[in-house]
Amino acid sequence: MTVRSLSFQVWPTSRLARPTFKGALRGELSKLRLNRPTWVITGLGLLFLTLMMVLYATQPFYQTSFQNQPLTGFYDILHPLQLFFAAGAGVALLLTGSRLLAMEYDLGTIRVLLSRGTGRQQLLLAKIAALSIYALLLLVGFAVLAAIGTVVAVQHQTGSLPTLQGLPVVAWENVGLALLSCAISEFSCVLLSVTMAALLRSVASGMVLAVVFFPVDNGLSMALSQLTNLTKSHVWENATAFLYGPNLNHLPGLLALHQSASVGALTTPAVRTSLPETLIVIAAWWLFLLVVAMASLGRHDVLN
Amino acid sequence: MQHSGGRYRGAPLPVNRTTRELSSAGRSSPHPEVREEPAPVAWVGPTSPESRPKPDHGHVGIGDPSAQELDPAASEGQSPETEAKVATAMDHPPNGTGPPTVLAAHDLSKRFGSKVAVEHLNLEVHAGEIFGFLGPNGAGKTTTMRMALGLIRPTSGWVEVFGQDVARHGAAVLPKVGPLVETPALYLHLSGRDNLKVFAAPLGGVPPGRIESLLELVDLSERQRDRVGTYSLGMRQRLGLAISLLHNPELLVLDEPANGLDPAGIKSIRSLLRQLRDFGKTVFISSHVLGEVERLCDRVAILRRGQLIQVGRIEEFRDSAGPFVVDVEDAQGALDLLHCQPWGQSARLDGQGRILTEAPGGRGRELNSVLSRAGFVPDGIGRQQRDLEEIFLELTGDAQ
Repeated sequence: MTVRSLSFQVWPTSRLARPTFKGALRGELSKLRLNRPTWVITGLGLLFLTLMMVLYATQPFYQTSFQNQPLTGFYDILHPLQLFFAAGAGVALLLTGSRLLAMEYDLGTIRVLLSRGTGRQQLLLAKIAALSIYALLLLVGFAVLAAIGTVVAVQHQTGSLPTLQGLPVVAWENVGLALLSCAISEFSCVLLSVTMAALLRSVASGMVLAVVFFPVDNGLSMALSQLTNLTKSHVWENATAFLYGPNLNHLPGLLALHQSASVGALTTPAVRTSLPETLIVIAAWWLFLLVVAMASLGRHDVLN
Repeated sequence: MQHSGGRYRGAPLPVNRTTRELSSAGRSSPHPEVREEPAPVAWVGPTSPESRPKPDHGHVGIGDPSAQELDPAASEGQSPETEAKVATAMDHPPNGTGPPTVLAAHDLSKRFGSKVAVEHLNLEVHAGEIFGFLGPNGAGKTTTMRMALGLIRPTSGWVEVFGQDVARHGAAVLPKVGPLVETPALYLHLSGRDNLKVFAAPLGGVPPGRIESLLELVDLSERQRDRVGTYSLGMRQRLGLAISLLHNPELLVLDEPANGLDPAGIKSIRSLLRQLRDFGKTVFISSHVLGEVERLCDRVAILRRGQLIQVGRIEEFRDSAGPFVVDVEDAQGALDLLHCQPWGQSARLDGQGRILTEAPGGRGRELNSVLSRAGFVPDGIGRQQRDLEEIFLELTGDAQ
């Protein structure tokens, strides 16, 4: 190793650096951008989306559906896409989010960040913001690609685009609401992933817990429904109204306007809940997860 | 303890000097601007806050009871000339103006459950010096450094960096600090260059060209685009050092920066740290490479089981810790005389026919007086100098 002479020309007495949220956010976005799994997951999502579009463009079912009932045919495309995105982007964000935070503990880089003046809360919020931007980009990219794919599929199946142009306004309103429910679902996954990572401080454990959370949550909903049947007490099924996953599953159907078919095929609360109730429960979960994440991050001394 | 491995440096000193003068003679600060205030006595171990001396400024009387004689408080009312002489002897500027304290631990303690990691630590690091932090494994060095960087919270006491409590004002003061704690923490999946960029971002980035110059500085330009996971430990250590220098910090807190470096790398780090000091930076460094510390540091603190047991200038450690070396014509006769003294039982001859002995009250002039009265007028009396390793092992109780 040869240490070169220091020169004042390259060591100017610069303005006093201070940790800023903007700087922390830029750092987190760089980590996401430079993280290979981020691109692998995004690439896989793109691949599955393409396969779905090929299916739409080639399956005779969609041709019949579009020609006979254009609105139903449109929903037949929209709902699976929405389900696919909610699940796919959800898993991607759970994995990416827990890795983004937990790797700081695994690698010990948390102590470098903190010892340079970045606050724990600042760091957590920067990570949440970076993941939210990533989620938003996923959603926008998905929406654009799905729109292009749908146009191509309809064109291929019916030979003309007026089918789409003739759809009622409510169809396009439902597209907007579907995107909104996807965004809510994504942010829910972001918060869950960073909370699990902050709790466990390990990439492997954080990822596993984040990914397992929703299946367990949904399973719990079904178990509580069974308990209601066994005990004849409605306490159990009422409790399902407060579960995170079932409420998120239920949200697209509650948001959608004038649809005969329910959106999504996942577990929902065992009792009827309204849109405001569902939104309140989801907001309460967000607050709870944020508090747990913040408390976890400042919980212990950084020893590793 | 055997002192045969010790070295006697320099010519024998005149016999009519006090021990403080002996330890101060010929000493000059390598950095004239770095001056220190004396403290009256070494503080060893915990005492009550009331009885504990003020945090010392480095000049403790290591085995030197006469240190109190030169306490600046005792010189109050003296003429300016006398004050200036005292100040010069103590490397202490007149009128009590010393270098600003960059880092200070105040009655700092940390417990992990029932385990005491650091206990009532008082310490000051001054601007422009390289301060070595020594101690065996588990002595509390890393814990202290982590508290200084706001990574862990003290159980009691506090750490001030640039005059502000780190625990409360970390965001304000820590950007002025370049940290390297234990093994360098890096994003192994990123390149060296990307690591620098990512770590620079939270503080608003760095001026153009800084990353290139840092990579060149630590000799990683050729490997800058390789994944850090493929780097050797030494390369990672160098990258860690580059990261700690990203924002031109005023204080470097380096925990074992020589870890994993080969001798050439260690030498380079030494050269770099000296250059940084010459630019007015302050370096707070812990290391197990005692020879390196000895060559590099201006002052050293030794920690044992969480307690500060000694702090002072390197020269003080060397000068004051060894036995007296007496050059006298009739060495055997003088040795017989010394063996008759209660404090001279351990007197012996070294390989060059000189006497190694303790002195009454640890004072060279008393030793001179005893010998002269008996007709063994010494040609010279001085302290035997030992290297830091010997002193370290003795102080930490690890000497065999």
